[in-house]
Amino acid sequence: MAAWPIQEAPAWHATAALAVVCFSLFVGGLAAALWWTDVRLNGQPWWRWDNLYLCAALSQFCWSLGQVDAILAHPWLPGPWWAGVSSLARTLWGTFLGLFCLVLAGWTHKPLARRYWWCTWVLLGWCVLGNVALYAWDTPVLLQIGYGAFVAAFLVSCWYFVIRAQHTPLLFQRLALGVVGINLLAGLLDVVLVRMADGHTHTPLLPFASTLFGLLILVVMVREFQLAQAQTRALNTTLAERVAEKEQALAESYQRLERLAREQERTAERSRILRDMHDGVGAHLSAAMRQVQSDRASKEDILRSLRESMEQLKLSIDALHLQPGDVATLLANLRYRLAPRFADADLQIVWDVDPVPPLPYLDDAAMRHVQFMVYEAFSNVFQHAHAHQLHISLRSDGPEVVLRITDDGCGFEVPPDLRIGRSKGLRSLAERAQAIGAALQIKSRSGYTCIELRLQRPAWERRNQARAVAG
Amino acid sequence: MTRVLIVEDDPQTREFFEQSLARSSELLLAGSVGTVHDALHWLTTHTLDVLLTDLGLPDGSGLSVIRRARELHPGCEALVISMFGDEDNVLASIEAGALGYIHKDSAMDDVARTILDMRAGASPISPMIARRLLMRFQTDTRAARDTSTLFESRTEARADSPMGVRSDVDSDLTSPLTPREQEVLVMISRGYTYAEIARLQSVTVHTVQSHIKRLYHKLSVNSKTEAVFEATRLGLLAR
Repeated sequence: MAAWPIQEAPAWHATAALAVVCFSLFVGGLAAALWWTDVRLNGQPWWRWDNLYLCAALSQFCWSLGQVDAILAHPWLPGPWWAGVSSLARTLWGTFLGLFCLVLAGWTHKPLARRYWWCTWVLLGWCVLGNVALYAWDTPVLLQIGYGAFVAAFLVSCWYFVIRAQHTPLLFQRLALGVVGINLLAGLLDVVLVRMADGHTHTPLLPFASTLFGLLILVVMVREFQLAQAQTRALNTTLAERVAEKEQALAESYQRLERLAREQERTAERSRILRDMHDGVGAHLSAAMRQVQSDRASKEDILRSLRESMEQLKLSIDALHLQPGDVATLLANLRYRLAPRFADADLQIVWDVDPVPPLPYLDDAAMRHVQFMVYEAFSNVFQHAHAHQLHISLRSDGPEVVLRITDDGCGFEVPPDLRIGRSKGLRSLAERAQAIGAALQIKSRSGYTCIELRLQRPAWERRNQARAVAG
Repeated sequence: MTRVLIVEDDPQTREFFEQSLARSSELLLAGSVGTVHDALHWLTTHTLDVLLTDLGLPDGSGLSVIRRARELHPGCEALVISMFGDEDNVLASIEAGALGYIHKDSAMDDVARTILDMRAGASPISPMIARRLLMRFQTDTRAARDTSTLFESRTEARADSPMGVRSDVDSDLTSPLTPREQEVLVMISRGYTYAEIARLQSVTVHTVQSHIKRLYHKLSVNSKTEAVFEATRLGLLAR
């Protein structure tokens, strides 16, 4: 591509050149912006030569630089140097345009593309040296050889692209094929018309035909943008579907967990009720049956066993409604249920129960233990103590809640270790106290028996009370 | 003589209660049936003073018998025959209009005494039921405060309505426990007997018992009123 001779040109020529340059700069700027976005968002290395937008931007900028002398009357550099810069810019335009077509065709992986890339830069370097040799030592041979080889390589590349792109169904490759064809024709025409011009000014067609490359680049960028938008929409839809699937799976997992938890709760409740039935109603009914089967039991004994069975059943049902840790209500309810037996035993009850706050750590099973223990203590009084007065107290004592059941009956021998004593009732008391983490103390002598159960209050409650007292 | 209707599907239990009534000279067995249908029919053709009914009947619930008896015979007092005296069943019965309950395993003398005590103004109550009543009235008071605020705003909007304002609904919903009633309930929930409460409050046992009976009335009224209010709000009843 020879440098344009600086001659007088028609006025419209400068305007048209200016329009071409502006258009090229616009396309180049847009392509550069898209390339930079690509690098920033996708983390691609900025020096990747196979980036479509980089090739497009560089080709358009180089083309704009190459057309400056058609606009400016006085270029920025002295004439010979500016001519060299201008021709190099057009050479680079050809190089980057070729790369653009390679990337657009998707041929960057082919060994030919790499050879083209290295060959082009070698030739470009040759042309730079050729320009230096021309202006430093007035030796044009190197430059002529370089430009000639470059044009030959460019034409070979165009021919290769034309042959291969014909068989491709891709629209943009065919469009590029068309644009290359038009530019080749324009270049050929320019050569012929310049030869025939014979000193007259010929307006080259190639600069204007090359604008079609800018248009092609613009169309490709719009198409890429549309594809990117469609991909994003598709990804968003897929993502939304996947999120919905995961949410559904999560909801199903939660439902399964909930069902399992409910099942576990039901199983635990069933176990507790079965244990209750075994320890309470079942034991008393068995005793009643044995009494009926034996001939020694009286009608009153059998009736008492059956009434005790009924009592146990009612206490089991009451236990289902007790608030965890509400020992005060548990005692109150026991007194209510056993009121007939207190009356039958002719006992004077001294009721000294403070409204102590519930102990939350005493769950359903623990409350049932406390209920059994108090019932056992009362039963001992009814059956064995021959007492006249029964004192029941519940109060807070520092860090503990203390339950005391005291009677003035005949008393009994308390073994040193309740757990290994002969009395099944006392063993049961000791085991149940241990099960709920309570301290059990039994003192007994003639005229005085005291069963004391100490339950720990929660730490946070003790702290609150200490603060209230200090305040 | 106090006329008593027994509604109990188990023949042996029915016979037991009939014999219990016979032991008292103040009680008269007015009728003895085994189904809801027979009971409702009996109520339309006879009069009674006391209704003694089981809850689990073959063709329905004893609660419907209680409600019908209260409608046809406002002076009638109902007692529920309960196996365990558990909170849920007892409270449901009281809301339907019952004034107490008798255990199925009570002694014969206890049956008669409970009926006569109720006629004299006493109503049986357990600590668990007292605790539930306390919670229930506290909830009702909070709900009534919210509802009366809502009701006042609606009333203002309908100030010029020819139908006017239903003042009975308003007052019933907002009546809380009196301090004395609350104190009695609290002490029962803590296990004190009527005699101990009377001594601590320096009143008679009868006074303490009447508090309970009045509480049962309140619960029944509140339940009925709430049902009417809700039905009115939902458009099921004309304003």
